[in-house]
Amino acid sequence: MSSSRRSRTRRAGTSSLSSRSISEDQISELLSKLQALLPESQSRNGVHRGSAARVLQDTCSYIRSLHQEVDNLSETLAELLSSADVTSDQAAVIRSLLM
Amino acid sequence: MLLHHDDAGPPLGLPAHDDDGDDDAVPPWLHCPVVGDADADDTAPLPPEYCAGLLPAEYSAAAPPEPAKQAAPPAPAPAEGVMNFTFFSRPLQRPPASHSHPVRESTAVQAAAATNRLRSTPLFSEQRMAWLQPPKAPRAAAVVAPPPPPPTQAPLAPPPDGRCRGAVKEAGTVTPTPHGMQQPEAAAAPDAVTTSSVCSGNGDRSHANKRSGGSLHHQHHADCSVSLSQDELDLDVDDEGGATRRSSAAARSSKRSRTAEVHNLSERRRRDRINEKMRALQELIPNCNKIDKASMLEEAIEYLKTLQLQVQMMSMGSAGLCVPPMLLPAAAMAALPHPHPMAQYAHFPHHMAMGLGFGAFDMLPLQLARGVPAHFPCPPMAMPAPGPMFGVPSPAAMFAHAAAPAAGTGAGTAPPEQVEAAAAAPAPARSGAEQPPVPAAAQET
Repeated sequence: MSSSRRSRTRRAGTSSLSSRSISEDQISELLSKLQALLPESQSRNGVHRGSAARVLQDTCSYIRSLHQEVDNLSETLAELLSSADVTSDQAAVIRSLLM
Repeated sequence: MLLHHDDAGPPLGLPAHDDDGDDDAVPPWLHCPVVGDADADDTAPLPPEYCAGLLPAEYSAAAPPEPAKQAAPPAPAPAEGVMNFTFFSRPLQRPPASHSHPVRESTAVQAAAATNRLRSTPLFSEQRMAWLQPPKAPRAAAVVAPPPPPPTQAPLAPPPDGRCRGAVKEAGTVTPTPHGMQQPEAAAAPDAVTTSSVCSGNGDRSHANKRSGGSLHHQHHADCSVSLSQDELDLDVDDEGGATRRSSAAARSSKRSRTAEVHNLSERRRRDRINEKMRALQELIPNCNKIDKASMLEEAIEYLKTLQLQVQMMSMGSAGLCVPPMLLPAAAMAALPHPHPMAQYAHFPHHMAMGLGFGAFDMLPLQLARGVPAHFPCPPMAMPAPGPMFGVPSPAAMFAHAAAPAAGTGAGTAPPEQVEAAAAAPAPARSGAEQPPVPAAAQET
């Protein structure tokens, strides 16, 4: 990060999305954590392999895929629930999973 | 044969003149793009119009813009009659504006854009295109495609509105009407002058260069596409405008400052891109009202973990319930339900993880192998199907990561029997849970 950016960081105001009052280090650390959660990042070694935009992009995609998976699983569980094969206990379990 | 009508105005699609009987089988409008007939002359202006948008940018640029321009006036007229392309022809004012729509509409939009060669001021398209292209455009398209679920153009307004909320007031002017959206955008474009928003697509020289090139890439830009900044407006109005600005800037300042200016522009472009991604992320996270980056990122991290956990839970549950209990290895029987704290994830029916018959031991390692659980921020609990733990208990064990010793006894979370344990386990599990609120909440569920 350039020094100019840092000075901008200090100067910038707070509470705006584009502000850089929060240190870049903090943000990059958070981004690293986020990246660590992503599936494909497992194979990577470099911390800063991805730019911030890339990490955010991957995160969005991953969240969407997780949403999709949750939907699929919910559907499966709902089908299970509607089938006659489950006991009442299992039905309770399913319902709790479906929340 | 196909298109007897002269291009004066008769709709292409109407079947009347076509072969008898063929019309029944083939929708009349299908004939429209087919140019190879004697009427090719008549329809010549149209095919390029319709096809241009579908082709890569280069083609659209190469494809005669001049004939297109000439055909622009007549094009909309015949296009009007075409059943499927009616709404494409409408936006005469702002063809590029149509690019702001999500992927679903992209084809239609592109056709519209191509059709309406009135892009004298391609304000939006270039911006979007320019900085969409470098960052993964296809991925961007994927990013945008899911959120807006729009069969029509109506929903298109909301996404841009939502995304550029803070930055672009004009986004609100994009009404949901199918045609209106382009026109208001046209109106908005000049009005958006003042908005140097985060979403601004980097008004840059490259925009002008990629004017015709980007027609395919605005897919990405449902959001923030409306946002404009003054300089971007200027740049995009014309190449000349941009050049003027550039030259004037160069004339005014030395080369060094111009370099700095370019640098600043690229910096801003980068920041805009990041901010746009942040907004996208913010929209994905429920109840996220954070506006500063750091807290938003933290929330994103937490949410991601939560989601992963949820997926894990549900997949385990469905697997367990779908598989007959006989699959349980005998060794699992020895691992009796062991009450352990599942504190952190109180909002999940984690106790059910124990209650569920983890019958599919063989499946679980697969699930774990997917790497999802590996992402859980838990101390190494031997995630990948540890020997005694059968992988099954690991999610439950993960909950107990606060109680590290549970790792060794994590196997205890796997109930020996599926059905019987399901009834029995939750009870002892609940009572055994360290945190009363957790089982209380679980019981409430």
